[in-house]
Amino acid sequence: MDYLLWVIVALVAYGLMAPLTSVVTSDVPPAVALFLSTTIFLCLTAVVLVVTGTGTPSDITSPSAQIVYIAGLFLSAGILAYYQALERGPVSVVVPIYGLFIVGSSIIGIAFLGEELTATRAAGIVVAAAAIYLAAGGEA
Amino acid sequence: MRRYVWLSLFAFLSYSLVAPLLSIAMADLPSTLAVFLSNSVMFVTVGIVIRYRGLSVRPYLWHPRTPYILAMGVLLTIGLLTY
Repeated sequence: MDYLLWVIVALVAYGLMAPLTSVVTSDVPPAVALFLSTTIFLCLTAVVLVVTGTGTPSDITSPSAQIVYIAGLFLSAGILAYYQALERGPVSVVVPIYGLFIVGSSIIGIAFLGEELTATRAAGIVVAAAAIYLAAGGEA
Repeated sequence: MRRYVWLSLFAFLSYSLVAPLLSIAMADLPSTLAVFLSNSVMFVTVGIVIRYRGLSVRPYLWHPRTPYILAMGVLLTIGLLTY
């Protein structure tokens, strides 16, 4: 059950991010807000990496790291678009549409990573997509 | 359709690819390092975007919204590392 506590901590942290981002981007260009918050993230995470002794220098040139760099490009494109959307539209519409990534990632996992598709999981994906669509007020 | 809806849809499609790609990489790489490296790419990319758009970061280092940005960075760290 230990993992559940961490999931809840992550959920609360993420839950606070959207309204905070919306407030910040009303005054600060989204790219600048993202740049500065990422700087803080990288500094704090660098401390965690050093303290825990995680990884080796050779890791950053490994084939797996190259996949991470591609993921980083999609991350950049996705987050920049998300911040732009938050700057222009209501949180209550933007966040649920963006939240469809949970469904998108699940479908990619099943289609390309050989993850199992059960009837329950399929129903969960459909219901999650419907919930997010309805939460967005049918704008997606 | 409104522009922010298009942006939200693009964000959703692009971000959908992140978790599966990281999942493949994390078979070999520690998760904290993977998250650090992917966000390093974002740091550089966003830096290029800022430069291209002629924006300045300096005015926002001491701005009424700076404490909020600091909170965003801390929440981002907690959210990503605990996830």
